[in-house]
Amino acid sequence: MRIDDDAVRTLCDLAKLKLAPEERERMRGDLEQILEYVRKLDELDTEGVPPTTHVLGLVSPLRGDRVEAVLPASEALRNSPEQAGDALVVPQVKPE
Amino acid sequence: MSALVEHTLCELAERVEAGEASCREIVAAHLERIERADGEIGALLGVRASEALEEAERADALRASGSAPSKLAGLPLAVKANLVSPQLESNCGSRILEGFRAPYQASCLERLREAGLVLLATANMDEFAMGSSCENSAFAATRNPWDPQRVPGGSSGGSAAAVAARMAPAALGSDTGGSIRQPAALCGVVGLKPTYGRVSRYGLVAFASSLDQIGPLARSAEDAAELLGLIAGHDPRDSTSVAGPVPDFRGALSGEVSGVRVGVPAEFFSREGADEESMDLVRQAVGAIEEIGARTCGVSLPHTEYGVATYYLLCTAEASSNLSRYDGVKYGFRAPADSLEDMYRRTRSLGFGAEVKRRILLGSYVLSAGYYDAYYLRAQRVRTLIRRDFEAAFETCDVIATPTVPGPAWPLGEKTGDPLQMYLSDVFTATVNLAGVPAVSIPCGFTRAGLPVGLQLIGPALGEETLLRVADAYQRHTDWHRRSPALPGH
Repeated sequence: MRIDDDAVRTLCDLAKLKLAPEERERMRGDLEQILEYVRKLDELDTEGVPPTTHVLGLVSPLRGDRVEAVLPASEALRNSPEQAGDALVVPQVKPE
Repeated sequence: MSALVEHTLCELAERVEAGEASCREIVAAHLERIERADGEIGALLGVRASEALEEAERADALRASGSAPSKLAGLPLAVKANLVSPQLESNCGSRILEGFRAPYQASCLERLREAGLVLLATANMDEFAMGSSCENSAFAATRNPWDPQRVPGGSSGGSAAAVAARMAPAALGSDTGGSIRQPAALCGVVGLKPTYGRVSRYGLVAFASSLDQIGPLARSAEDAAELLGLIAGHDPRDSTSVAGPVPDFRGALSGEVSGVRVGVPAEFFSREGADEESMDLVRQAVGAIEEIGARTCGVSLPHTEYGVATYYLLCTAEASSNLSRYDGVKYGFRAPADSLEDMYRRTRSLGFGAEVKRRILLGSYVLSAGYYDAYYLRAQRVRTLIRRDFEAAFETCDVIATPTVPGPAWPLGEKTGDPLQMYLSDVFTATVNLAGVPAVSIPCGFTRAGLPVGLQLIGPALGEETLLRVADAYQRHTDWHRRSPALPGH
């Protein structure tokens, strides 16, 4: 499986990562090697085999529609790098 | 060194019950051990020394007044750094969560605290549980107590090394593809991965949600059974936790294994590149289990060789989604930047280590349009074939016995430059997570170089009682789990 630098750049965009050129090159080589290895699965005939998304065969249970205690905002926001009142502060989203 | 640190958790509980030791003395003995040994081993990221002593004293006082909440009240435990608690820094071995202290308690820790156990320390781990050697921690590389030039295994390497080095009688870890069993094997301790859903994952920082499971590391199967009994059971906060009563795991340890059918899959013992000495020790352990009354039979798990490929496609896909929450907004590290987009990218690029980035990129790749069917969907289909292998095998046996790892602990740095070689050390453990079944690794001997080797026992879904019964019976006839590494301070 050939992976080129453009493909790694696209993946970085999708994953919100910013890698230096040498780090990108290393990742490119690693991804190529790993994707080559996983081609092993092509040896198997999986036609008609249902996919497993979950091992327990659970159905999504519904919880009771009750009001329950929640964390106060100050507690929930305590770990954020920057906050103002009950809000999270982030850098400017739109250019001026 | 105080002899108290050589006891198992259940033995310590008996000594406390008999008035031969106080919980304060026990916690103090382990703190002293940490003080002497952890400088070299690097198993722990944080130690609650004064709080732990206070909690132990409180347990002693409660016991004196006849109101201790459980037999284990006041006894200490180490906790992997991906289980959250207001009492602990849960940094997951990552810069991006450095200093993170959750405002809520993981369900398993809540249950242990209700039983009075003392959360003594947080244990080092591969960043976000991604790794098989503990070298991917952003803070320190933990060393193997049996040979400090070697890795302890991973990702629960800190938990395993802490138990092996007698810094804690037991610990909690998490296992997504072998992360409890593999370090337990390499450090010569017991490591149990329960059935998927047996223990609530509420408060476990998510890596691959369809595979992650919390479990104990300890020095005896009896301790693992005792701890599983405390943390198992349905939790309304985790909809994948199994409903129904929790069996009496410790009560199931009868010492009796006659009639138990132990399946031995030949393909696990003849793998190219596996360490022959380790394989021999595991074969001898299977022979010993036969001698005490179990019957062995051949079984086959033909899709085992596809396990690592399937596992790395599915776990990276799930991880790429789960780790999107680390964006510098809600918690953890934030890199300064002028725009929101740039802040996301700089934060994630500086906050995550190389292996985490590699897995996020791989997961993004296999989930992207055009590749989804060829990789992700195909892996999900092969997962079905792997599950069916186990279902078929358990029609003719009660327990499957295999090596836990293809070889003993390897030298530090040996596999860090080759991610695929590192991944392949999970070949005997990852299929168990894909099938969702329980498995335990127990010490079964030492190589000539003095490195521990683990025997893995795998059971059908919700079959922990039989697994633990066989493991405990084996330990009643052997003393591998009693061996203690020579460490500084002796």
